[in-house]
Amino acid sequence: SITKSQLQAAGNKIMVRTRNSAKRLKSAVVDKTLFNNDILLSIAPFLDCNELVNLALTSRRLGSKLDHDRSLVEEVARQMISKSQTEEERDALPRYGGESWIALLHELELLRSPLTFDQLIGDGIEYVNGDRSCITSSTDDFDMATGIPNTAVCSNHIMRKGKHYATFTITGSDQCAYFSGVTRPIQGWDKKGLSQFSFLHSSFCAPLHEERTSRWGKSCVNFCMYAHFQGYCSWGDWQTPRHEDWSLMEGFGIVGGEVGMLLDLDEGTLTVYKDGRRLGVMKDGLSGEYCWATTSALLYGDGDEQNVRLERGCIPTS
Amino acid sequence: KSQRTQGVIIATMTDNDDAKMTEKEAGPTIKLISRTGDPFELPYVAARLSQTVKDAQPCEDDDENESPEDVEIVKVDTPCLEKVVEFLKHYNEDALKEIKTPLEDNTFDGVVQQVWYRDFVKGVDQPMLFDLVTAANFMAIQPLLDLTCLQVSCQLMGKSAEEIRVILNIPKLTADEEAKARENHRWIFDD
Repeated sequence: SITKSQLQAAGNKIMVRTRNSAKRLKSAVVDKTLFNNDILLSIAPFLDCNELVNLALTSRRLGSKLDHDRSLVEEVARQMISKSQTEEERDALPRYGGESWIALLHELELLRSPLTFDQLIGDGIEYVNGDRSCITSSTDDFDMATGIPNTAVCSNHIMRKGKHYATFTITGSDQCAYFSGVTRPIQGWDKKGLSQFSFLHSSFCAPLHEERTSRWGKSCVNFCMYAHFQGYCSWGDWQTPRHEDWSLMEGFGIVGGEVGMLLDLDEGTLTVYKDGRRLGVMKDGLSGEYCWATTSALLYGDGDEQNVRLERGCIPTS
Repeated sequence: KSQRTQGVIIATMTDNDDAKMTEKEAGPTIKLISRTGDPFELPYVAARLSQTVKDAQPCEDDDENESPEDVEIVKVDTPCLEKVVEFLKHYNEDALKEIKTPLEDNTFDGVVQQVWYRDFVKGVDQPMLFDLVTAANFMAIQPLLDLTCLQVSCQLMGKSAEEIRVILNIPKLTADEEAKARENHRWIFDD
């Protein structure tokens, strides 16, 4: 006869076997569904790049290279780019050799998103009401003779080729000095604890040069900025910043307004627009990667009504 | 039944007459047969949402197809096909609003406003959900594929790799495999 404990042990075994077989069934169903290119392609549009990467990290079958040297998730990312990328986006975002397709998809998502200042470097600069596209200067201890202003950088959107247009809309400038334009992409400078920072000052030349990558190319134009008040061009390799007049320059004076900037990396030029009107090519000789940036210094007052808003715009036709 | 009102006989239909009228209005029907041979009958006008079913018909002009041929859905089991047919019938009465990307909301309820479709997806367990994804893909039923893939995506949104493994019951990577996978996607961890 079978004892009560033997019955219980048998029952436990059956439960474990049932649980395991249920788990195996679940695995088999998921296996059949998820490890399928067509189905992944249907799921992927609902996920962002971070989530796609996490999916790739879950399993060797999803995340490891297959016959054509791409993982399943990488292949899905490639197809998503191919299906949705416009010609303009393709020109602006060529793929670097060996670059991950998910990484490129991430860049494409950024290209379609609003521009934001993801790095605020210096003590006296902050977002306006938490709006990451709009900054203001907040301290009043800037010394015009010796002081260094603060800088906001849009380093999460790196321009590598083609044409890019952005506007810096400045509200009131009689209390602040503004410079807006492009610089080489740098990362993590907002975490260095700097009280002040500017691309226009040679103090930071050495550590900035350590950020160099092969994607910067050979141009010595590591930054190029438009001085909002007078309209001159500040540019250089950081070691020897130059401040030069240019033939078609116009400043805004103490009045706020919209500075439009067209970066054309095929021609190597930075063209300035003033309140929608084309002034002209401010600088040529640019090549490699850049990102948008603005430097501001509060000259006097509390800066409450002074701010700079960054927005992506359509490529002007003239 | 009839009523005499002011000398005029008004003939009204019986329930059977109602059904016959509705059936006639619904047009021809078709049977979809599961892998194990179980048939499910539904109006052809509902079934043709499946491109696979449409393509299986000999008649090129879909609107002229008075006698659609039954189709064997060889890759779909009975319980799943039953749910698919339920979806097709309801879609014919009240179509699912298109799910557009990028999503305006990152919750399932935020994206799918129609209660019947919410209940349809939430009323199935995980294996059935994935079976429905596979069936929708095989039968080329785009709205059902969008709906079920959206639900799967919502389960994965905001989850780490480890959490996804638990949800989907995927075996863990070895330490070497994980290190290599992270090396391949280093850019995201550098942000």
